[in-house]
Amino acid sequence: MNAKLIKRILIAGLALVGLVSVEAFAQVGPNATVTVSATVNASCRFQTLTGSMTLANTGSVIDPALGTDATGNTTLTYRCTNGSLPEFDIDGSGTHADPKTRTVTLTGAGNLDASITVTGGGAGLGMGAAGNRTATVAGTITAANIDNATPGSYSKDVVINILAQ
Amino acid sequence: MKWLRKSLPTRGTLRAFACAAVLGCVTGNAFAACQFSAGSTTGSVPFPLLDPVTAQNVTAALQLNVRCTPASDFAIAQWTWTSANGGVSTGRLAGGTPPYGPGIDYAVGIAVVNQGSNGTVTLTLQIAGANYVNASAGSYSDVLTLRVTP
Repeated sequence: MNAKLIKRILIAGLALVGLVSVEAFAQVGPNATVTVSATVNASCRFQTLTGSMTLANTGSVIDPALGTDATGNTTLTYRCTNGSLPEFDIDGSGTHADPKTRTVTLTGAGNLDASITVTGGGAGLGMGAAGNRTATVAGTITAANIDNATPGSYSKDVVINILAQ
Repeated sequence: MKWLRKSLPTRGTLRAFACAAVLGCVTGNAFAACQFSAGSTTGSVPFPLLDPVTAQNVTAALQLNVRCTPASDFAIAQWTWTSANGGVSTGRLAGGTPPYGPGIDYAVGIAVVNQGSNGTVTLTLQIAGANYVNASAGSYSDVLTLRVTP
C-alpha cells in the first residue's frame, strides 16, 4: 500500500467521521424541549334545575275584569366558563339567544298564550362554587289574551336550555 | 529505506491523522454521558379537552428515548425540568380568552427505565380539576425543557 493510497483512505475516513459527528450533534443532546398544550371548553350549566312561576294580575290569580296583563317571574342560577357569555333556548326552538323570548301555550281550562323571556346575568365567573350567576325568567299573558279566557287553571312545563356563546 | 520512506505517512497525511484524532475526541465527549436520542430532543404533549363543568383530573404522557454511555450513568443521572411559564416544581399553562391570569398549573412526573445504554424517559403530566375549574375558555400552552446531567 503506497503513501498516496493511505492518504486517500485517511481522508475518506476523516470525511466519514466528520459526517457522523455533525449528524450526532444535530440530533442528540442533554436537553429536550416539549411543547405542552391544552384547550379549555366553553360551557354553561344551570345549577338550579327546576323552578316555578305564577302569572297573575292580582295576588296570585288572573282577574279578566282588571283588563291588565298577568305577569310573573322566577330566577335560575347558572355557571359558565370564566368569561363566556350564556345564551338560552326555550322549549327547543332551535335557536339560542340572550335574551331569548318565545310564546308558549298554557293548557288546562282552555288554551292561553304566554310570552316567556329568559335573560342572562352576564358572563361566567368560572365553574367553581363562587361562579354563580342568575338568569331571570319572566312571563306575560296579555290582557287581550285574558279577556276571553275560560275560568280555571292553566299550566305549562317549559324547558330552558343554556349554552355558552 | 526508500521503501520505508514511501510507506510512511506524508506531512499531509499526518495532519489528517491529527485532525481525525481531534474529531474523535470531540465525538467521544458527545457520547460520554446521558443524551436524549435522535428524534427525542423535541416533543409535544396535548392534554385532552378540559371541560370545567366536570373538572376532572386529566393526564397526558410522552416517552423520550435516551442513551447513557456508560450505561452505569443511568444510576447517577439527574433529570431536571423547567417550565417557561412556571418554575421547577409546577409547570404552568398560559393562555385563554380572556387571558387567564393565574394560568393552569400541572404536575410533572419523570420515570426512567433503561436496558443497558438505551433507555426511555416517560414524562407524565397531570392537571388537577381544581386548577382549571375557573379558567377561561381557549387555548393554553407551555414549553417544558428537560435536562439530564451528566
